[in-house]
Amino acid sequence: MRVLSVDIGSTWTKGALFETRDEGLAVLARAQTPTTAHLPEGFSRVEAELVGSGGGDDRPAITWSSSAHGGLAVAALGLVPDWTLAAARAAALSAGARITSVFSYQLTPRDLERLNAERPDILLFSGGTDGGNTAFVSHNARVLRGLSHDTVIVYAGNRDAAAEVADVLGDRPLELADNVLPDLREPAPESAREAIRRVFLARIVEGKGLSELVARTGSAPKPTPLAMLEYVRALGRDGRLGRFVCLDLGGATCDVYSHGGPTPEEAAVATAGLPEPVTKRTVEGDLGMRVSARPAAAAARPWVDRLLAAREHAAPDFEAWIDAVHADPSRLPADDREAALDAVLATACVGAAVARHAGRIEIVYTAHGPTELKRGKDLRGFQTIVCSGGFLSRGAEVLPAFSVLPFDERGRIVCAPAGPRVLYDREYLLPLLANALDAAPEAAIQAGIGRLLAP
Amino acid sequence: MNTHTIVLGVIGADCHAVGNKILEAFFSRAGYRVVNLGVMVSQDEFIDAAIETGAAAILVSSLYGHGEIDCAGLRERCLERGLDRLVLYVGGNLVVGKADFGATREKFLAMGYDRVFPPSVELDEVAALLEQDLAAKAEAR
Repeated sequence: MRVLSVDIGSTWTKGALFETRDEGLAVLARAQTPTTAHLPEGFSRVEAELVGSGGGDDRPAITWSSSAHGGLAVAALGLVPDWTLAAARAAALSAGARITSVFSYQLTPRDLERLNAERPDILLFSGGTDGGNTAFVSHNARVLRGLSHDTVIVYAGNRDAAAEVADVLGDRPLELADNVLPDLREPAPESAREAIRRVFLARIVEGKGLSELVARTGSAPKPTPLAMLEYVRALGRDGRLGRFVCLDLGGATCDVYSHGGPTPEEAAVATAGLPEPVTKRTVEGDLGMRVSARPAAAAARPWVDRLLAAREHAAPDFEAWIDAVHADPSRLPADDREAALDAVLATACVGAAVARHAGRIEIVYTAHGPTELKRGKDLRGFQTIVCSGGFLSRGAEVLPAFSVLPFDERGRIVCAPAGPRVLYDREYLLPLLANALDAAPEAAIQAGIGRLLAP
Repeated sequence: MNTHTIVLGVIGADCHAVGNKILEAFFSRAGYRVVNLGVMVSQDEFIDAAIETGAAAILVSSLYGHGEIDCAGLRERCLERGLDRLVLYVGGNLVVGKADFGATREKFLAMGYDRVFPPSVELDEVAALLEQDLAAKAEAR
């Protein structure tokens, strides 16, 4: 069986033609072309290069994803920041979304103005546990009557208020889903994720000019990060990678995926806040190697400073390099010195992105002596780091990212991996294998793990 | 049958977990929707949980003797964050040593708690008072 996998990115449309073999999917050919304004053109070029334009009985199965034209833009609204807003954010990220903005408590007229200026594809509207608060939801629903019809509202809040929300907002694009946080201790992102997927297929694919591809290929696309998240989950269930973190650092963003639950020992530590999902995704829009180089150099400053000091590079040289890639995002290092400065930026981005993905441990002094209080996901015992994306997959040195700053700005322990092994997606195939997961699940998993573990 | 939601937790850096489990079991059986935050709960976590779940009461426990520092200001914080009709209880070993409980009770009542209980209190008694206090708050609405 042959599988054609295509990913339409914001800059490049990439594809690979795979064939199922005993050892998993094997690459027959690869192709890439600049993404075109009319997205199906680039897709067709890649397809023609890989399988020819003729018909015939031997057409491969086609699987594809898209993050072009801004990806899947979602704004999140919750009640309390640490509870329903956090649950809504996590649900949107796990659906492959890019979070445009977040709101909590009562929406104000200015918040509405901001939403109408940003025009996200979807507003994920939550608030209240089931049986909990309805007053805020009720108020916010009324404010949202002024929301542009370009934004679809997905309501995933207190079920007691769902009928009222349907009543108040029923004459505009609205999807009802189950509460993302029916109970404080049990986030339930599945239904909201499914509703976001429905909206993506019904409206966003159409809006981005992709519906002709759906008709022609007979298969529906996924948002690229969703395909990756599902692939990370599948790789994790295989077990050979252990609990792991997968990094995809690009020019504009840094995606961090992790797979693994707490061990019984880790679960015994007192925890606060929302329980963490086994497979988790975060994405950082201010941490990237080119388009986001400037904000990254600022946001990851503590890592940059320590890495420069350890490697005896001068700060002005680093600033000059940031200015150079900011001015010309297609710029690649021309010599060893520039490569070293680029590597500092990459490692710093990884450090900051993983620190945001990871939880924190606070040492609290109690009557029984020092005690740990944990919030967020504990990655300290995670055994493996998988590096993907053009800037990491060729062998970037990422381990210093986890060790140069063991504490955060408030003195809490950052639960980043301690002493993991690092595996490289050397040919940058994981996103294309991720697409192939639905068409050939076993073979896609075998190929991914085989390549990562290959000596 | 009671349909009120109540929030339970042990405040501050206190990790006494057993009494907290007993309270959860007791009040669940009494028909309340119990949101139990467990041990080492901060004031803001109590309030966040109460807002999100629409709780009618917060029952704060403190067993390790630092209750006075941990519990001070909770009522004001509730008011500041919009919880102006909340029933607020506190109970446990609220202060260190053999202080007279009457004085301790006065101190915590002055902080804005509606009821203050020693560790020896019968839970049936607490439940009866809670029902009464919730009814009174509902009537005041």
